[in-house]
Amino acid sequence: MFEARSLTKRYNGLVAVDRVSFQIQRGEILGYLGPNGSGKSTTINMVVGLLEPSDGSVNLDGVSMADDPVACKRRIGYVPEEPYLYAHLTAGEYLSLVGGLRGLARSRLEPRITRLLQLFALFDSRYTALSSFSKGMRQRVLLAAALLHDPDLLVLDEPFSGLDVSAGLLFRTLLQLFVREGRMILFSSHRLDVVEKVCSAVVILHHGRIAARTEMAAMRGAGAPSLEDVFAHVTGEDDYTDVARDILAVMRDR
Amino acid sequence: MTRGPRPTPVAELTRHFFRELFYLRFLTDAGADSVRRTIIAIIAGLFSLTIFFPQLIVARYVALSGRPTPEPYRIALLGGQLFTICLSMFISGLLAALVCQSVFPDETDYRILRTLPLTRRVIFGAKGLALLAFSSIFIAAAVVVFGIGFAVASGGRWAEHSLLIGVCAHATTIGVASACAVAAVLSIHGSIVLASPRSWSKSASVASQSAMIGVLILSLPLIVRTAGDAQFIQSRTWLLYLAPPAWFLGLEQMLQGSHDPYFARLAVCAGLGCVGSIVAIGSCYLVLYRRFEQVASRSFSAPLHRSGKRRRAKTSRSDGRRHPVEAAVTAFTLTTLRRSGLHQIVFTSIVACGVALTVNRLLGAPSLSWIETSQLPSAGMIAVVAAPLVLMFFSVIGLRQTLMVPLELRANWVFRLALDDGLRRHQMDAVERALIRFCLAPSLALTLPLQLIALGPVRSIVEFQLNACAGLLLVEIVTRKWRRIPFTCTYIPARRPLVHTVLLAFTAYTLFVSVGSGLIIASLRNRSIWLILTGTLLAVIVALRRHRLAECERAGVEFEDSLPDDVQLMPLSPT
Repeated sequence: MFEARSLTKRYNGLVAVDRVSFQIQRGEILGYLGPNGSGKSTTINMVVGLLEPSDGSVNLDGVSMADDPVACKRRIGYVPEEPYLYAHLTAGEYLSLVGGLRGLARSRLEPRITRLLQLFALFDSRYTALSSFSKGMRQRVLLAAALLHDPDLLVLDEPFSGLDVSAGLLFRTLLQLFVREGRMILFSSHRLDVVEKVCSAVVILHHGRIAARTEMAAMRGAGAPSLEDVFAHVTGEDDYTDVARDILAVMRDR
Repeated sequence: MTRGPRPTPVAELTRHFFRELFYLRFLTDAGADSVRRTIIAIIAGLFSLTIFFPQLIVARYVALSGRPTPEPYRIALLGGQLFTICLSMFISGLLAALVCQSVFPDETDYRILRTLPLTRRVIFGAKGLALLAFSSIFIAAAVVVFGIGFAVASGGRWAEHSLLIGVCAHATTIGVASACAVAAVLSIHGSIVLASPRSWSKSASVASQSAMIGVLILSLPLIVRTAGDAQFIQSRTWLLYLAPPAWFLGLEQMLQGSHDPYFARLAVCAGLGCVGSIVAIGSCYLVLYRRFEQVASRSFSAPLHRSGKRRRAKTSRSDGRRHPVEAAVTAFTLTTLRRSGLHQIVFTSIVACGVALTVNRLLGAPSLSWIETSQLPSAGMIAVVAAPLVLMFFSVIGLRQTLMVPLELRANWVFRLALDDGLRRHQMDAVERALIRFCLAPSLALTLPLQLIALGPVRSIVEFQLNACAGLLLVEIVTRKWRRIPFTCTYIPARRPLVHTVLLAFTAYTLFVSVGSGLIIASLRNRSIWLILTGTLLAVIVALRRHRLAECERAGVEFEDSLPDDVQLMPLSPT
């Protein structure tokens, strides 16, 4: 089980994340939603150990990130929101770098990389620098890198951005099969339609605090509000018509 | 409210391209700031030195005018003219090499500008105009300082022509020579890039830029020598036909009214060189103009190398013996050095300084005849013995500096995620391996033939062994406080005051090269000294290595560079 307990992050007195707590059970995909600037990425950086929390703790199967960050990080796979990669490397070289840093022996790593490149439809571009890759291709490289070491927890920050329809469908199926083996996923996204289909529970963050937590099963019943309705209600942005009208007015102004 | 005239697309685009030329394209986002500051500091230093230039020239020619015969003055003047031509061509060529990646419209221009209502003619016209304006600034500066300034300062009673003719001829020559240097560098770069196959286009661009900068720095000792050694111009040697600056000396003599056939031939070479360079650069533009779409878009998905599989298989075999972390960091380091223009340029420039210094020392030996005889004059002996030490010093320092220049800092999260105290040593081993592989081994291998010729087989082996020990000692010293994975840490240049840095570098160089070569020469002459020196070096290397590895286990990996924390407290409070 993964548990974030009272996670708080302050920057010079400004509270970016305020006492956020949630759990992910084995076999569960937890959706992590919130408008821009709500503290999603900060929470995720704390979960994967890139950022130290000001307060609170992160535990993976009872092992605390603060006490043993190496053991925790070994079991986490991470796909960041922005596809920051070493763009001068090829996909194979990048996966090789990540695998090597994870301590995977070259004899095991090479066939695994080749197979992953084939399955993620990147094999034909294996000698092409990542700088020439589209956003979707980069996302596929990042996902392959996150899966390379067989993690227990997958932390995904906007993993579907830039993916085409078929890659999106593949990813969705992959995630569902991944958790079926008793693993966990923390899934942060703005794509409510995808979250609705993939996740078993959802946490909505607003102004750095958890504004709602809901099980997806409860929403699928007749007459239940959609995730979009819940999100708009929780974040207080029910109607965007006026803003859209104002934009058009600015556009017409000569 | 009044409105100014609306700028035309050509003017707007020319201004954009002109400004872009000042943002060196080989600089990455992460490395840009640090390297730009360093470049500005070097240029500022060189400019400040030019304050002394007229004073030196005036003093020299005043002294020569006082001589009873015109011969020394005229020989020195020829040398001075050649020196200023060389210097202006060097500066113009170096600037052209630094900006050569921005000279032709490329993929970025294609992606952005072709979506706007602009014709190809406007894009190419604006790029050409911007290049012209950019080069004109530096050519004009060269004409003022090295053309007019030198001609005025070098006037004297033994001058063969009036001051006006001298100034006009020298200024024109400097202008033409500088323009030719710019055109030559750009045409070489353009031809290499356009002629290279699709898969090598980017690598060829980066490699040709680094190579040209390296070659230009390598030419510095020869340039410096032209000022003091003008006798060979008088000897009418055919070797000068191979030296482009000498062509322009011929041109200058012709402009001054000389009828010497030797200078006339040199002037013809200058004309041909200018025309050839201009035709070549024009052809590059023309080819690109006609095939803009294919050429600009060919790098969109061009594979980096076709031999990647072979290379990977070869690396895998050698990596099999190493820890995966060390293998990964080593592969990352080597790949980055192979592909990043910025890092190649930093490394090449510093190493070229070392090579230039070595060549200068060897040329400065009283006579090269010592190579054929066993009677070594002391200067020649020192130059031969010091050659590997100089090369190792510059290459180790150069690579260390190169590894410090960051690359895509936002991508270093992969290293942060995989941090492990138990594996840190392997990450650091990769740095040591790179220093040995790229610095020590080539320096020793390159200078071994020279030592075999000059010192004989037995003494060369002894020297090789001592040099290898000295190199390992240097590697241990420079990695003593190294806590970084290459290219992943921010970099604050000039953390120490400039004077401190210069003194430190000078002391380190003196200790390593001058004292080192002295000790090696003593070891070559006395076996006991050799034994003592070898034992001492090995003991120090082992001790430093142990200390470094112990420190490595304790201290964490750095991702943020910091200023020195030894705060100097001022005794302001009353005691």
